Amino acid sequence: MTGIFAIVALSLNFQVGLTGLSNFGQAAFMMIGAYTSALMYMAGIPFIFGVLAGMVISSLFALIIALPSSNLRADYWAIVSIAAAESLRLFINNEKWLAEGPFGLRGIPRPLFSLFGDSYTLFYLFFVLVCLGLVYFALERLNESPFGRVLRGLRETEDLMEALGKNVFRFKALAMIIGGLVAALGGSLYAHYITFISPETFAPEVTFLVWTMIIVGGSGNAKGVLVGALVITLLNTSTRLLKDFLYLPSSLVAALRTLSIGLLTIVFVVIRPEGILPERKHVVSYSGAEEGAEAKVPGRALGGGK
Amino acid sequence: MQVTQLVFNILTRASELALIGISLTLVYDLLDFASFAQNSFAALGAYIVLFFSVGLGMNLILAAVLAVIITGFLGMLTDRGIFRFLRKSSAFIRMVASIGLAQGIRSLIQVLWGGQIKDYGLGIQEPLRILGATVTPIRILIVVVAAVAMLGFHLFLHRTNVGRSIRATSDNRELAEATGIDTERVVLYVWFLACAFAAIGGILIGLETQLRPSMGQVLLLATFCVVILGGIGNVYGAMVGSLIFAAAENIGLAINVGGFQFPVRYKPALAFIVLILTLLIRPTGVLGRKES
Repeated sequence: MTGIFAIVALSLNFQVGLTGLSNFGQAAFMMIGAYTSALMYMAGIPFIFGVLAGMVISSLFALIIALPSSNLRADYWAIVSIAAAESLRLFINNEKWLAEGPFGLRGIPRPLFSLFGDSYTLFYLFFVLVCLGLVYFALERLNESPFGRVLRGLRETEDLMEALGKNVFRFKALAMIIGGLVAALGGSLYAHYITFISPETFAPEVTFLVWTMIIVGGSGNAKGVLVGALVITLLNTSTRLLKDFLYLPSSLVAALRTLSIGLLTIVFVVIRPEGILPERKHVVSYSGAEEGAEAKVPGRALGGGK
Repeated sequence: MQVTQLVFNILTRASELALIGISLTLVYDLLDFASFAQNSFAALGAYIVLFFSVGLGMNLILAAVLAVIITGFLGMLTDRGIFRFLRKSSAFIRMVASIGLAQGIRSLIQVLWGGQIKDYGLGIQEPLRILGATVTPIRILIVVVAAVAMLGFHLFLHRTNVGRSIRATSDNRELAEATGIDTERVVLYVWFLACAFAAIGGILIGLETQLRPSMGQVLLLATFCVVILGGIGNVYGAMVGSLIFAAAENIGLAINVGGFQFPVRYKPALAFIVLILTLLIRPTGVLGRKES
């Protein structure tokens, strides 16, 4: 589970930590991925195509969300993204012909189950970890690339980026799309692991959970996000197991779990907003030895006024 | 649907939303962030009434007053405990903290009161017929209470010293401080007011429908819509916004033109549509937002 959530957390981090978009609708992307791949697999289409289809639809959704919102402030963005995600959830909940509405999809078959039988969970773990590794590497490469630099620039000073001639909308949309695809992957993996999904599975609480992972772990830092995902998932599952030891009604434990996660978010936000592993600052070092190099930098900053 | 019925429905819905909307907009204005927690405070207020009235057998009105005051105090506590440390942080951080707080309050409600649906035990009300519309006494009460609260608030803002200091801080914080107003104190007052209002809103909702832990959060979208519609930070805007929103919702659902009818199941999506339209057409809201 850590792996799956780590994938989703990384996707959110790409949008939030890197580009500074406050996307609170991430669960929607997960949902798209989950439902698409589940439905397709159940219709007999090979697993990989279902997943890819989920990613494509997710990208479309990301684009649709990005369109009216690219100029909004962070808090508006948050509200719009929650609204969009909730609308999508409402749609799936209501349209029974699409995916059984509120009853959800049950018994989603696990890919390649016949091959592995008993040791299936181990296989799936391996599979998820491989995906995680790929996602991690891909996103880190993007982070280091010029594309990533622009995104980080967008996060810090959007106006400057615009002044430099970057099409802000295009970059934001791309960030949303990439984040969306990866989240869809996470969603698909989730669906086939738990074998049951319903609109309830993708309630806003899920997005908040992923946010907590980023905040606790360190937004902007992929390693930190992994740490965050690990910590939060451990917390989640350990409190689930705790129920058996404490003889408390499970609804109470569920509430306590959400309570502690909420508290954790607050604590971290107040005490250590950068998270456990803060982002490494990329410092461009000036080789002070060379006079020419130093002289060039101020010149460029002053602009083409010469 | 009859016009008078529509009007009553709109007024009722607007009343419930307006109070939470005022709560939201107050925090937005003086503390400069989008608090996702106000809706949860509303729910909390409603549940505290439950504790006093159903749990301890207190008179409902007395319980309500007590709950409102307590919720207000709790709001002040969260400022001292959480948001005080975030004054220098970005608005975004405060927003995230409020989300954590919202989750926390909701879970707390669930821990203390359980997740089942509860209500105030008022029983089925005998509806009255007024001007051709069917209205239960409770709904009339809701509108009256909301109106009184808002009127009281207006008078408070303009006729009392505390109200004046709030307005001053809202207009120009540095200037207010320079004239000797203790802005930290003002912030506490605002938290009290905001959460008290939210509590009133929550109690009214509980009176009309039932109580469940998520009762605040299901309204998140609607209340934010109301605030954005009216202009963020503008208390009167929240009042106007709630009327417009309630009107849009009720009229939108009542439309039955040539076979096209907006499905009731999609009511929350209506909020989304209104939100997008507002942001596209007039993002500063009907009455305009305060510039900080």
